[in-house]
Amino acid sequence: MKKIIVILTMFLLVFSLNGCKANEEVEVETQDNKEETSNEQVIYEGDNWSSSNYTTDMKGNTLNLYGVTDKVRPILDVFEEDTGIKIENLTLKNGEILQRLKNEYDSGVVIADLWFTGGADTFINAAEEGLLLQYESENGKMLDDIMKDPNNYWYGTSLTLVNWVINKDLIEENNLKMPEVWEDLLQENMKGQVSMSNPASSGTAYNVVSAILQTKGEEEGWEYLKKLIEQVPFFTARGSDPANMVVNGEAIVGINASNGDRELEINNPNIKLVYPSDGTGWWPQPVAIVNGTKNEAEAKVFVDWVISKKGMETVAESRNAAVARNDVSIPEGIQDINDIKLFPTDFQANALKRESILEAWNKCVEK
Amino acid sequence: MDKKQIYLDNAATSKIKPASVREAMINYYDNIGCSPGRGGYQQSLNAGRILLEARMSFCELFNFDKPENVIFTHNITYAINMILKGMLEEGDHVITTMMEHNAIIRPLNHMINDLGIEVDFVKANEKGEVNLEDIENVIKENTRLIITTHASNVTGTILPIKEIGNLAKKKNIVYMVDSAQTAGSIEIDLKELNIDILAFTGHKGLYGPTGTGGFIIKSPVENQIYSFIQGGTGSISDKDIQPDFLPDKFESGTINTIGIAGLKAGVDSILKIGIDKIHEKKMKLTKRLIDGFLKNERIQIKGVIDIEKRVSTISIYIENYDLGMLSFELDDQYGIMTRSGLHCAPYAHKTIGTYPEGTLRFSVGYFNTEDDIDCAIRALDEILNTRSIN
Repeated sequence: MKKIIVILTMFLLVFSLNGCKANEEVEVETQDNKEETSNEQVIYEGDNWSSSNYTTDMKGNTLNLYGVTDKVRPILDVFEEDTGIKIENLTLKNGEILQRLKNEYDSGVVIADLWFTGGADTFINAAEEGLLLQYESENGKMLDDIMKDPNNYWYGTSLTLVNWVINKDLIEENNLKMPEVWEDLLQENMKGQVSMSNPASSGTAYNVVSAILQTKGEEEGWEYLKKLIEQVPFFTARGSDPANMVVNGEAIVGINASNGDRELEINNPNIKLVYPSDGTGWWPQPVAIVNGTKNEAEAKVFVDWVISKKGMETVAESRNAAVARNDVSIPEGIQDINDIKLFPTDFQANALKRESILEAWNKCVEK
Repeated sequence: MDKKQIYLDNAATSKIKPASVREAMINYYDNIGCSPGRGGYQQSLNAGRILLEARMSFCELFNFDKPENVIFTHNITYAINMILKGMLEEGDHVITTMMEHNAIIRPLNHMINDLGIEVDFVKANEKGEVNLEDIENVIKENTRLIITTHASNVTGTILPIKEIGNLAKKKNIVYMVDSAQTAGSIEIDLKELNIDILAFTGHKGLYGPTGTGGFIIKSPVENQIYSFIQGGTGSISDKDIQPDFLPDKFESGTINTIGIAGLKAGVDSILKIGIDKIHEKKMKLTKRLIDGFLKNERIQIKGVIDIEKRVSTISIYIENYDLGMLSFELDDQYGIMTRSGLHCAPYAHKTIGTYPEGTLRFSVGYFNTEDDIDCAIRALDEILNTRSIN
């Protein structure tokens, strides 16, 4: 049985004009029908989800969403079941989404209402360029600070973890030590046998490069990366290539991004998945509202919903991944992030230093 | 949502290639882009180096010592035509088999009519197996060439190339092998085998792009072959006649360098993975597919069952069923790509009794998975169980 909690918020005009406010919250249970007045904030509460923006007359409205994967579709369908709001999704690459949002914003014809999934650094770039809408969702308070943007431009949902895909047979054949820490990738006999994607085109590789620089510091970090570059025969265009190359015996270790599952290990007896014990890269898959949306209220409902417990449970189940909320259980077979070491990551710095890091990286590769 | 795609038409081309193939081609496009052997500047030399290194990779794969004897052409059909038309003269006799592809059948039939050569097409049994004695029995004094496939592109049956090569050597006849279905999948040791000319395609088991192929020729057999095509080679340009040294004798015009860059990467991947591992995995999957088919009484496997005597190409036949429709249904409903029909090998289908309707062909590749195979078996069972006989 759904209930509506009406929170009456008294705004004092003088404070409002000065950007300050004083709230007096009163919870009142009502029936589905409600009356809104200009000084009332209404929180709709469904089963394990809530939104201060939802009204039942939104049913049948449609939102447009950009993202980097079709795999969000089941999540959008559950959202529609809960709210009646439909979402059309378009799958593009990270860079394409950013360019498209810029073009739409510049032309004044904003098509997308939402952006869901992609690299956190691209979201930060978009926010820097004024392409995202700030929104402080009440449900965002349940997320740790590291899982969301400090200025409320985006919120993390599912987590992507960097791991190593290792061909056990080739480790044995080549008398190599099973890698445990990043330094182990520099073993002499592993030259030409480490596969990594190109950080300019792959979020996984860029995340690794920037995380290593943040963790080890610039000087030691670049020293390590230069040695790592020597071990890699070529940098693949797609983030998924290294894992495939290792499975097929073309490389011994592949630096890979995963949702924390063990599918590769289960399906390939010659494969071992390793999370480096001295830390690994990771990032949340963000959700954000596009600046200029003509459906701001509905878009806010989606953000409220997806970071609510119900939304995160749906994300965890659909994407078979760990999620940014701590009160949602980890799906079976998914790596518990409490059992591995994550690199402390400053996503803001990753985004802002992207150009200079890639320029320095290219110089190292060309040498 | 994207439908899962399962590619089981590797006998036509290897759709999925090692990642290094694309990277090598992009590297040529982005960083080299020049014509090989046509300038003394660095990037032209780099382009030439790609060709030389590719020839060396071929030597390593086929256990051969002379990189200059590795000749690149547009595809294997060009390679076969260059040899046949550069070598045979009126009155020459050629022996081939009924299991050949049109790449051999058509030029030979054309030359029977146009040039007056003689050809014996040696019969195979209904499983595609060729008897060595049948070849020996048709050898004549004017037999100049024996040309056979290494394995049928219809039934997957392997031909006894070692024994045929020994026979050809004993009789002093040139032996040419079409390795389109085996190069990169089965070890071919040119030091051990009496093969004079090995024709290869680049885009199947060697994982190169389309538009690549060629032949490896053992010296001094090249002296028996007239250069069918003449033109610029970038060498001894002061002379107005075709060079007689290799590879220039057979490589006129600018080589498909970007394609060869990809082909080299493909061959290097095979060397890196190991051809024994590639063969083992493909045949394990092939056995799984055959075992699945054998459980369905309506499916007839055309060719040998024993995986020691075959490659990973499997032709099946179903009585009173439109196999073209079946191939369409597999693709349309399950995303499984197969090939129906005659597979450019009409004589082979006459041999195995499936002419003119043909068969439905499944060909397994190294990049397939057990899940792909199980899906294919399940899909075929589902379609056949829900459709009555036509």
